[in-house]
Amino acid sequence: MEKYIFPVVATFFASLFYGLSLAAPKRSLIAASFLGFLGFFVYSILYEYTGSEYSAAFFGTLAACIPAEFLARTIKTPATVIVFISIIPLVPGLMLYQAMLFFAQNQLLEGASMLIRTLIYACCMAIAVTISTMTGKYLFNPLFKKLNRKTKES
Amino acid sequence: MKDSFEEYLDLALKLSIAMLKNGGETYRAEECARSILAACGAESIQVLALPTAVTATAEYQGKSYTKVCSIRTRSNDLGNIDALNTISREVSARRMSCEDALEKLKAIEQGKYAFFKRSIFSSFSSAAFAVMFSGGFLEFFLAFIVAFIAQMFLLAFKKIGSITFFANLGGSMITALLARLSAALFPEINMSSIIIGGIMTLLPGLAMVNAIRDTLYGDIVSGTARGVEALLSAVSIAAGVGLMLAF
Repeated sequence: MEKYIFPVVATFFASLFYGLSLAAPKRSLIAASFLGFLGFFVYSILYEYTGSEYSAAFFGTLAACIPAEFLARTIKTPATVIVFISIIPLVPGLMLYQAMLFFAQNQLLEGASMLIRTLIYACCMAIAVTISTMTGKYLFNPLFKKLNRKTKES
Repeated sequence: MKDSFEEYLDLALKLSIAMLKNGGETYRAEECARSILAACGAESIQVLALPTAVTATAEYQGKSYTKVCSIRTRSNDLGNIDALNTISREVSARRMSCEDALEKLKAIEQGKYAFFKRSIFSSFSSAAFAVMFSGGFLEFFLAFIVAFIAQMFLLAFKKIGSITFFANLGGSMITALLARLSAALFPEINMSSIIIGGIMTLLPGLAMVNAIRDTLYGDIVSGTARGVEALLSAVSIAAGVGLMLAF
């Protein structure tokens, strides 16, 4: 377990500085970086116990994105601002690099299979982003409209 | 009404252009313009936003107005997206006058793009990613320097062509080259963690998320265009790294 603590903590700072480099609004930074940390944490745990990187990527992205949609509506900022910072640690940079390394070493079969794995991984993330966007649109939007009406009445 | 309708149309179009320029979603850019035009009492409003242009047309007091504006450059600035969203909210709720909004918009557009500060933050992020992918203290330090130099080259490469293809290709090539150089200098380091840290910040995460969201909200044209853009930059990054690892 110890070998996971250091990378997972580094994730938080990676997201934080990434958000800073894109000039993200200050009130969203800490929460968004925490969601980045959470997504990667879920990913690492699932990957450790199931051994499937695809389901780990899917649930990791879901764990980062659905709270991000909720948070974006709470602090009244576009959802992309938070979603983008929170999924950056899950972007498949490692796999893309490994595929390119295999190609460079003339191991074409391994490279091709790694490239296909990268594609499937990216598709899993895309599906998770899709689901969270739909959750935001059809579940959180009506919910927050109701809440706003209530606060106006009271 | 104090401000003329043409000013409102101008503001609506400028806001939605700025939204797209800074990397906002297409549906939000359209919604921005539509809600402002609706707030000042226009009828039969039609707004069409594409990644390269915005068209807005509306009827006001029996007269029809149309305005078109094209977009040449695109970048990512989350802070601006947030600020623009706030302006559009305030104007549509009639809490802010058109003049104030235009002034604020001007301030955002002329706002200093603090390149140096951002490069440093981006390099720190790359260094943290290097640690995340099993790097140590030395890798952290080297990844920071490599990413910083790559950022400097990125600025120069961005002037070539209007898409980010060459910038990404050059940036990833420089990253891989410098990582190999540092591996030659310090043989005990883990070269891959430096390269991965460097390319993580270049990978088109925002473009991918925007492509998905655009498609889901029904802007199929924008979604496809952004998807292709994301794919193209991923390919260029991979190619840059592959080229430098090959020899």
